[in-house]
This record gives sequence, C-alpha cells and structure tokens, in this order.
Amino acid sequence: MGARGERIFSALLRLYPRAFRQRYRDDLLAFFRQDREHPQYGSGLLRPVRFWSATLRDLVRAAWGHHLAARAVEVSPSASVSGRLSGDLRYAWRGLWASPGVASAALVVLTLGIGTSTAIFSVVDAVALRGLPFQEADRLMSVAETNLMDGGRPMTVALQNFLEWRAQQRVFESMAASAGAGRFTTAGAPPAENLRAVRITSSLFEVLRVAPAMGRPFDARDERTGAPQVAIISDGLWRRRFHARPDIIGQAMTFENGTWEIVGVMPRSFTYPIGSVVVSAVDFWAPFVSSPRDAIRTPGRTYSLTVVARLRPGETQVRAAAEMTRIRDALAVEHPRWFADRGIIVRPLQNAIVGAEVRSWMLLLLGAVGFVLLIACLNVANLLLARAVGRSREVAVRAALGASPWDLARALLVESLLLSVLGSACGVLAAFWGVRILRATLPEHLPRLTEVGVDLRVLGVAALAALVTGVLFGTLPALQFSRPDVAGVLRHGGRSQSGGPVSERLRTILVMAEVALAVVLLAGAGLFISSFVRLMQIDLGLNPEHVLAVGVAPRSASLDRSAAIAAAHPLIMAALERTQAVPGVVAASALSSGLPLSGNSMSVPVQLPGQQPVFRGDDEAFVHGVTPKYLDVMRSTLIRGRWIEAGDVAGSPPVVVLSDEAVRRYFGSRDPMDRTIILNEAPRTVVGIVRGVRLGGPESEVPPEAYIPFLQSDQRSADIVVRTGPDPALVAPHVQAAIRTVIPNAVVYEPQTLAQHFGALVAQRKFNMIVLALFGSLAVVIASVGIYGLMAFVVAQRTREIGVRIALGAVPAGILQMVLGRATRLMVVGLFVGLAGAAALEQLVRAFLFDARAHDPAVYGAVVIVLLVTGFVAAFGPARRAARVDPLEALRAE
Amino acid sequence: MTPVGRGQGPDLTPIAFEVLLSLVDGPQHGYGIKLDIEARTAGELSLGSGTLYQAIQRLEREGLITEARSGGDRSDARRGRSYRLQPAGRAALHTHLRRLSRVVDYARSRKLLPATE
Repeated sequence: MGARGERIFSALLRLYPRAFRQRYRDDLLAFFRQDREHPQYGSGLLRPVRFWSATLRDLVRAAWGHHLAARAVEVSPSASVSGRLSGDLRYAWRGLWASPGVASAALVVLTLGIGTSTAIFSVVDAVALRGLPFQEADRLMSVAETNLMDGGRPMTVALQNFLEWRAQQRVFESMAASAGAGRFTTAGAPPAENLRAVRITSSLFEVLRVAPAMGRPFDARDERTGAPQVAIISDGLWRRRFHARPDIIGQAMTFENGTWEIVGVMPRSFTYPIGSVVVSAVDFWAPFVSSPRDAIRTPGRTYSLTVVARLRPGETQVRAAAEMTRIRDALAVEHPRWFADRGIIVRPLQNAIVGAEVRSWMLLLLGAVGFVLLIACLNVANLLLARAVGRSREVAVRAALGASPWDLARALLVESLLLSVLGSACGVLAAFWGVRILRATLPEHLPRLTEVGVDLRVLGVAALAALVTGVLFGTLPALQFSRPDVAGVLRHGGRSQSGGPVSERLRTILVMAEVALAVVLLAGAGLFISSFVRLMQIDLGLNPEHVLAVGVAPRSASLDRSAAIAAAHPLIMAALERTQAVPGVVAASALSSGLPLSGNSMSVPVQLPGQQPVFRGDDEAFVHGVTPKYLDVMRSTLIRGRWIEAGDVAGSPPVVVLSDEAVRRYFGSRDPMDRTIILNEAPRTVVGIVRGVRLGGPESEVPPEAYIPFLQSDQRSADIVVRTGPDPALVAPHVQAAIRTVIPNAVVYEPQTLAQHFGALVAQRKFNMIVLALFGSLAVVIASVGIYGLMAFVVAQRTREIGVRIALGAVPAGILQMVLGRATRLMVVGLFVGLAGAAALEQLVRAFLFDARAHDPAVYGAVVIVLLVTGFVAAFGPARRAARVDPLEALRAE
Repeated sequence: MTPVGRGQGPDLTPIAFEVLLSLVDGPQHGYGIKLDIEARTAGELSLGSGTLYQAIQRLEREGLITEARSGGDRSDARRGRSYRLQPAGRAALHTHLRRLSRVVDYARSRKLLPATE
C-alpha cells in the first residue's frame, strides 16, 4: 500500500499548476508520507478511507484555488481553453446542484450501470483477457497428449513420452513438466497442516523465467535419485507457517513421512500451475526426481505430467505443433501400443488454462453487462433531455446574450461528462464491493479466480466507460439544444411548447429502446432461470440433502492385502455401529467406493458366464460395496428382489444387487434374478434390482451399477455415509469423534456432504442464472424509471391541454386511459423489438443452457407479463396525476 | 506576475496568519507547521498539504517567509524543506496581532467577551 499510495498521490499532483508542482513536489510528498502516520485518521479498515478522503479533498480544493487565482490574474478577456473549461465545469456543477432530483437519479443509474460493468469486467479480464503473469508469456506453450478415443481431448502426459520429447525437439528453448505430489501432513510444531505439493523439473524456472525471491532455484543435482529432499516454498506458506522469518533458507520442514530442506521462497505473485482456486493453491514445490528406470516403457501406462515449453525466438505454434507431431509419429512406429489411442497437441499456455468454453462464457457475461450499461446510458440521456427541456428558457437567454451553438452544446456535454465521471467514481466504489461478492459466488473451478480484483487496468476501463457513456448520453441533448428557437421560447414564457414535440418524440424513442433492451435481458434471465429449474427437477435417483460422508482408513501393519482387509472390515463395522448411535444420525452405512456426485467412482469389467468380458470403459459397471442401511441414507428405491442384508458377510454366498440400467445393459429383456454375473472376474448371484443413480450429477447419464455387500468387497478403507436429521455440519464433528474412539489410529478425513458436491456440479449454471436474473431485474427497474419519467414529463407538458379537455367534459377515467394508452403503445413497441432481438440472440446463449428449448413460449410469456405489469405500475402515478388535474388551476397557470 | 488585490499593506488570511505564528519560535518544516497549528487550535484547524503549501507559496512570494538552509541536514529529505520568518513577516504578524488586539479590546468593552481572567 505504502509505495503505491505515494505513486498515486504523486500522479495526482499533476492537478496543480506546473510552477507550484515543480517548487513543492518533494515537500508535498514528504508531507504525504508523514501525514499517513497521523493519529487523527483513527484506526481499522476505515483509516485509509479517512486519510484518502481528507487528502483528496485538500488536493482538489487547493488545485481549484490555484486555477481560480490564475484566472483572476489573466487580464486578457478572451478566456483560455482551461479557463473556459473551468467555467463550463462550474456552470455544469451549479446546473446539477440546481436540480438535485434529476442529478441524483442519473447518478444512481450510472452508479449501478458502471458499477456492475466494472465488477464483471474485472472478472472477465482476470479470467479470460489478461496475459499470464510471466515474461513474454505468448511464447509459452502447453504440450499435451490427446485421447483419440475421446474426440482428441487434451490430457496429461506420460513421463516416458516427456523424456523423449525433451530429448528430440528443437523448436523450444526449454521444456518443463510438473505433477501433483499430493498432500503432506506436517509433524512437529502445531497446528498440524495438510500441505499441497507439486513436483517440477528444474527447467520450469527457465521456461517461465521466474526465480525465487529468496534462496536458489532447483538445479540438475536436485533431480538425481537419492539427492537430499529439498523444497521451495510459497510466499503464503512462508508467511503463514514461518512468520516470514528471514533466515528460512536451510531450515527443515518436517512431515509425518519425511523431512525436507527449504532452499527457496517464491515471490508473492508466483503460482504454478495456474488454474482454479484448488489447482493454484500450492504450498511448496519439490524437484521432480526420476531415475533412468522411469524411462523404460512398461506394459502399464501412467499419465500424470503437465508439460509447458517456451518457443525459441522466431518459432511459431504451427511449426512447434508440426515438429511435435513428427516426433510423436516416429515414436508411434516404435511403440504402437502406447500411441494407438494417443495424439499430441501444442497450444498457447493461456488457451490451455482458460479453455474456449470458459472464454465464451466470460464473453457472455460481458455482453450481458454491456446491455445493462447501454440501458443506463439511454436512461441518463433521457433524464438530461428532460432537464434540458425544463431549462430551454435559460438556454434561449444565453443564446440571446451571444452564446454560440458550440458554447451551448459544450456546456451540456461538459455537464453530462461531469455526471458520468461522478457516476464512475461511485460505480468503481460499488465495484470494489461487487467484486468481493462475485469472487465468493463464482464457481471454484473457474481458472485464475484468485487474480480477480479492481486494479489499474480495470480502473482504466471504468474511466473509458465514463468517457464513452458521457459522450453517448450527452450528445443527444447537446445537439437538440444547441440551436434553440430563441424567439419562440422567450415569447411563450417559461413553459416551452416549441422544444416539446421534437424532444418528446426523441424521448419516446429512447424509452422504447430502453424497454427493448430490458426485454432482451429479461428474456435471457428467463431462459437461464427456466433452464436451472429444469436442472433442479432432474431426478438423481438419490436425495443429496442431509447426507454426510466421513472417510476412514484404518492403518494396517500387515503388508498382505487380504490380511489388511480382514483386519480393517471389523473395525469399520464397529465404527459404523458407533456412528449409528450418534444423536442426529438417522441412518448410516459404509461405502467402499467413491461418493456419488463426487467424481470419484470405481468401475470394473463385467462378464456373463460363457461370454467374453467387457473391457470398453463405457460399458463397465460402477461397483459400490455397501451395508444394509445404504438405501435409507441415499433414499434410493429397491425395485425387485431383496437388498444387501446383515447376513451377507465375507464367507456367505457372493451376491449382487444390480441397477435397472445394469440389467438393461447386460441382460436386455431377460430376467436377471438368481442369475450369475461376473464382476472383475468374481461371479455373483443377482438378488435384487434398484433404481439407477446419476453418479456424475444431473447432467450425466445413468451408468450401470452393481451393489455388493461391503464385507465382501476388497477395500481397506470406506466412507461412513450418514443421513442426518439436523444440518450435517452440526453432526459431522460427533461422527468424526465416534470413529476416532473406535479406531484411534485411523486416518479420519474431512467430512463432506453430498449437497456440497451437488452444489459444485451446478455452480456455474446457478451463477449464470443469478447474474442474468440480477441484470434482468436491474434493466426492468431502470426501464420503468424511464417510463415513469417520460409519462410524468408528458403529463406536465400537457397540463394545460388536459385542463382544457376536462373543462370541456372529459371524465377522469378517460384521461387515465389516455395516459396509460400512451404508455402501452410505448411498451408494445419496445416489447416487439425486444422479443425479436431476444429470439435472434437466443442462439448465442443456447450453449449455456441445460436442456435448452427454442423460443420457449412460457419464458417469453412471462417476460411480456413482467414488463407490462412493471410498466403499468410506473405509468400509473403520472396517469392519476393527469386525471386529477384541476382545470381552473391548469388554465390559470399559463 | 503580481498578486492582485494585496497592494495596500499586509492583509493576512487566517491560514497565513497561523503559519506565521508557527514560525515565531524558529524555523519549521511543512509538516511541523501543520502539527503546531493543530496543537494550538486544539485540532480545530487541520491543514492538508495542498492548502498549506498554497499559503507557503504566497507568503514566500510576498517575502514574509523564506526557505531556511539547514546545512545539508538529512532529515530535510524526509520531512521536506524548512521555512523561517523574514523581518517583513514578523512586521506583518505584529500589525495583524495589533489589529486583533484592538478588536478584542473592543469586544471586551462591549461585554462580548469576558474580561481577562
């Protein structure tokens, strides 16, 4: 903050005249530095706010004083440019001050418009637009293998291939790999922490062109087998765990499974890999140690590396891709089994981190917020136009006194610019707050979310937005009133009839445009809401609410797997029994494979007696080892036969309960009951059928599943899954405690809830829905303010005409009808244009909708109703005022 | 450039007056002047940098104060330049104080202010 604050202040000194600045610059900065320590600004969060508001107030006041003094000194009657501008500014300021209603309405609308756009832009910028925080980042390429069985989806790289690539390629300056190294639990000084580590080749520093802030980077010696374990820690870990001690280099970091020597600390800004919050949260980096043995191509293939490389100067992505493809093809001849289903892809690192999908999503958000900003501009233009009409007499007087059209237009333009600058200032403040909300609401899987913030770039864009909007909404009134009908206006007294019809038509068009844009946004909101509702209505086959899961892994001294299983099962069953007794637990079961919805499930090959086994990944069955209460925990349904019972134990006949999807897939129309099915080479008798579950969430298919008794499974660890009465978070610590009492030395994992996993699966859609709904309602509110303003204006302009009508016998209901009729015509036109626009734009958002329906009549119908209702509410006030016009008053007023 | 409107004798603005008062006991740097004024007015007058240096600029131009050379003191760089009262400044201060004193006497005689405690 310190140095940045001073830079800002130093830049602001430009507001002073040059002579003053040159003489006192150092003194002013010294003053600034000392004043920052002054106790009068209090303490806490508000201290910087108080300090800056006092400093800025003083600065503006003093700078203004200098300019006034300079003007007073100037003897020449032809005012200088800056003098004229400050004259315009003062005139504008007085003008705004004189009509606080219009000024504050405009300010509120601008604050909302610019605030939301700035906040959204800061997200879009950080995620999709800004370059990576590395030197010459456009030369950084991601090199990945692709899965040819899965449409060429990029995936991680096998170590053997990386080593060959690195040895053979000539297009990259250097090439580096990294791989997650898992989590390490600290030993020694409490609190115990679970640190996340990533292994990197020493070349990574060279590729990214980064260096530790303290200590040394890794080098080739660290990568040899048997080298001492060394680590480079993140700035965050250094501050958090080591209290930023300066003598950190050479210290040891002790974990339950080993000690590491700290050889470096990375700068605060560094993170790698760059990705979502989870991916980027790395506590330390360790050297990638590989032995010559790792280069041997074994029968099994492991893919775990992320590879990044820096292009040589002058090389291009296309040439690099060609060369890497050539290397891959040569390897494929040598090792056909490795490359039958694997391709290679070279793409800019930035694209690898932020995929096309995320990018277009970001552009969608930007587009939507652009609409909001546009509506806000139209609205302010409208307000200013109304005010300009009210001041047409004043304008005419100025024209009569010799002001040129340029003078008049400039005055109005300066006024709108002043308004937009004020609006942006408030908008930026609102954006600071909005960004914090957005960061908390955005789905965690969004890459580079941690970098989202209001910075100079964002402020620059906000300033640009202010300028553009100011000109945009200032031009119309300025054009309209730069050539007033002086004689006409002055002759007609204060109430102008001459500016009326033209500007009224203009304002009507503006409001129609507002309505049309609001309709587009509202339709967008409707589409996203209805799509989300459909998503929520999808039957998962289980009920994720109030389901808690706590993973437990009993430690085993035995190296023999079956002995370890035999030892672990009774412990887990005892823990389960204890858990049942915990208050708040409705039902509890063990589950031997990953939780539904969590993305961790286990599938096995399936075979019927007398048939070849199915090895195709998409035809394998997901196996869950469960205990009798599992159905009650998940609220799933048994369709036929029986469920897993307490009598299904290790020695009893092996049984299986299949899901309806598994039956359909493997048995077709035959009856599966009491038949044998071979799962992972173990035959089991089918004893029942249950409803299938969408394991991957509402947007996934129902896969074939097989439930087996937990005690017949071959897993040493399990999740204890629990249906709770109260909030699972309240029950979780008691469940953990119960498990720990039964198995004191077990690893008991952090509790998870199914609802959390479900939430993560729908987070992006939910976010889109909330944002669009917010924009839609904002647009409707702004548009109805526009309708209200216009109707009030029309009624005020026509008070006399209405008075005459009433005097001639018009009934109040007729007048009411006349005004509302006008509002209706306005809305109908806006609706037509808006609905047509929405229907045309619908294609652009369809990719973001679940189960999208083209031109959903329910959505469009709702849009029409919402808009008409709010529009009528807005127009009703002015209409009633018109109906209550007292003809005597109206006529006397002239 | 000649200052306009201040030809007929020293006419001190309230801020200029306070700045001169702060320099009576010897040279001070800018922020010292601010703190001194705050202490004297019990925090009622708290000057920002712009306002203060605007006053200093004017007082320098009118020859009432001048920059105090402190012989390469390193604290200058950190705290800013120091200023000291010129004879003309002291005179202007006296004129102003006499004028104020007359006003106070008058106020006392009309019981607008309590008599000396």
